[in-house]
Amino acid sequence: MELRPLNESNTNDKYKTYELFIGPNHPGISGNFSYVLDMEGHKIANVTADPGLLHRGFEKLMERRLWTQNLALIPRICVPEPDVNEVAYCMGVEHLAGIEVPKRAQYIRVIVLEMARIAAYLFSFSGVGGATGLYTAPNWAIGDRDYILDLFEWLTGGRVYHIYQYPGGVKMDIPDGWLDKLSELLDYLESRLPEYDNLIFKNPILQKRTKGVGYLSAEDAIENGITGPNLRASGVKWDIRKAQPYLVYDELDFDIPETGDGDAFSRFVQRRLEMEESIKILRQCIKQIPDGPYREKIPNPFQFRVPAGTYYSKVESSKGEFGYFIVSNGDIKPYRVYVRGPSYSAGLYYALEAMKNMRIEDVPVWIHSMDICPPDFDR
Amino acid sequence: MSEWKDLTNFFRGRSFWMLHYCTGCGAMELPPTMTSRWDMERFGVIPMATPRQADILLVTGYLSLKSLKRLIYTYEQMHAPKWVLGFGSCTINGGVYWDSYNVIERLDKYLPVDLYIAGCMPRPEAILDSFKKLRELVEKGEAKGYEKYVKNYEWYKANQDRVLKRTKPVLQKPEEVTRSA
Amino acid sequence: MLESVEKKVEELKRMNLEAKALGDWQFEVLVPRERTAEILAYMKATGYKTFIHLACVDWIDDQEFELVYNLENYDEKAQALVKVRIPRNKPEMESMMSIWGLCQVYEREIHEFFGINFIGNPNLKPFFLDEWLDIPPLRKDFDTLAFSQELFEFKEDESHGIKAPKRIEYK
Repeated sequence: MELRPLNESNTNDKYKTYELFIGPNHPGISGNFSYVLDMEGHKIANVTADPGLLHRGFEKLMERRLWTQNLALIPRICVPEPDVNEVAYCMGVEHLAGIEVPKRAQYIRVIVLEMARIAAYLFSFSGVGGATGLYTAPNWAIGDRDYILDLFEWLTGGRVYHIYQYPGGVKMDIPDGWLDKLSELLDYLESRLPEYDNLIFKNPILQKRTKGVGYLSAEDAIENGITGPNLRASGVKWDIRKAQPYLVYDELDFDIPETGDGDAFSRFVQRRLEMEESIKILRQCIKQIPDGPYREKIPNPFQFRVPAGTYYSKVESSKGEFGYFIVSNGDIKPYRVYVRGPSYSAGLYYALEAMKNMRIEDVPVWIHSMDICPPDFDR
Repeated sequence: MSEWKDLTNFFRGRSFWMLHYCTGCGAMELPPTMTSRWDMERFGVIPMATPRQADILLVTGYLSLKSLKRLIYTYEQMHAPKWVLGFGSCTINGGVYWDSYNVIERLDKYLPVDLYIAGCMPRPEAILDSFKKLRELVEKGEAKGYEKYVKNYEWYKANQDRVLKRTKPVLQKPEEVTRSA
Repeated sequence: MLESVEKKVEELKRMNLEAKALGDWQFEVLVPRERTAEILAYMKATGYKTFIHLACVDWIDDQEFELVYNLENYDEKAQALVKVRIPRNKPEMESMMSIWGLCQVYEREIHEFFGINFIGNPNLKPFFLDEWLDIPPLRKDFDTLAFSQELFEFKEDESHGIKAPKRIEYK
């Protein structure tokens, strides 16, 4: 048998490029979503996104349900951090209907949002670990996230989906002793942060795997509609909580951490630093939360009509700007709701540019560093 | 012969390899079940990335038509004995998506389901409990979904093709369709 | 209301456009179809650099589609909703890909869900749905419940004893 010289295979066009499906059933991808990669050896020549595996037609379903019935539906749009949906939707409805939310309810909303943000960041830490082969990280981070879910369960009755917000406030008041437990939890989480640093962010192997991967410049981020921690990691100081304060964020004192390198590692570090700020915000909320009603009564929910109008309400989520574009024609049901998921532009458009010429092993790192969450763009 | 079967069923029930395919939002409760807090490895269940080495197909939540197609490929790649767990109310009757145009109702029309876990979404304890129940069923030799699938393949195939291989519009007359290809 | 929003609304009114503020930091502006590219390029040049989303509203009573371009200005902390109306019986619109490349995916999505043709967009292939043959699903005249019942056949009399969901319509 005659052996073919090795370099001959390189000139053979038939085997030069091949198609590789990453997802939907793949441990490196976050959720039920798929990229089709055209590979040249280890390098990616072309990328096609294939979404729709999670498409449920939320926007159509919301047109068929009452304004308050929709609250049970929308948390399912973003699974790791469902509360942003409820708050953004409620804020939009309240603006259109002209409902004033009591101070206490606004504080409760901030507490819920920041807890959800910490939970989502912890979940993203586990993604970092999963993408780089550091399997201790998921065990720690998901275990710690469960303490937050326990508190959510005490507060709202649900572990993952809370359905706790309501136009005009929240559904129930904070139970006795809950705030003490929350501050205990914050102490615990703060004591865990240095351990996460040692495990994940000071880990030399992880640094080598993630530094310089998926560089994103500030201009590219603005041009491609990338928001949230990913934008801030590229050096743009934009946080809706600071720039256009909603709820009571203007009464709270916090910073926007800056990393500014724009690569995958700085995006991970950005999330880790923002977690510290969230803990700071929660501490202030526990101290400052006033007494008073937790909900403004709305009329009969079956006859609750929102005056005609348009409004775009948005919330800074752990992944970026989460927006609800609400159109009402004065009926008992929304006329049209468009949900702006933060991962949309990064996952479906920017990914096609960013992944070109990347090596195959960097794809999961890139996906998890952008914190791409398929349900929010499939809807 | 029956003792031998009992013995194999005993061991099968104690080493389930679960295919880690996140079909829907129920996949959110799997990381806590897998990791330190609930640790399903205690019960011999571990996640597996490839369908060919997996025993359990855990259908975590609703299935869009596009996912259903991939799920059937995946199921047919798995080797018998294999079991399907329907996770959450969406697999039972469509759940909150009962009127959605892209989400199937009732998974058992398309794949043989051995066990359902009710709830939206089921807690990790419920998932662990379902593994225990499935073990009991396997030990008794009652979880025979994969045999049912082979026996009634035409029926399942017809149901699958009905939703996946549509050749004409479901509702409207063709001339009303304005959309170009 | 932010000062920058007020200024911008005045400026757009001077350009013979209907503009009004919707909240503290956002405003809407109605643009005729033939001036869309011009106005969007102008908005981008004056600081509204980030493209947030492109949404479509089906105003079936007016027989019109409304496209909403949502733009954000990080320097002035303002948000603009640029609205364009196009007739429903001739759903065509120019692609804005030359201004924001990002429009490509949004236009592809809207083509799929509303059946609007975007002239100049090279890739309008099916995106979220596989083999869709009915009228585009997010149009108001598409009945998702009838579709679901017809295709997925939720019948009560099957052996499993699960009851079909009751249809409750609040009026």
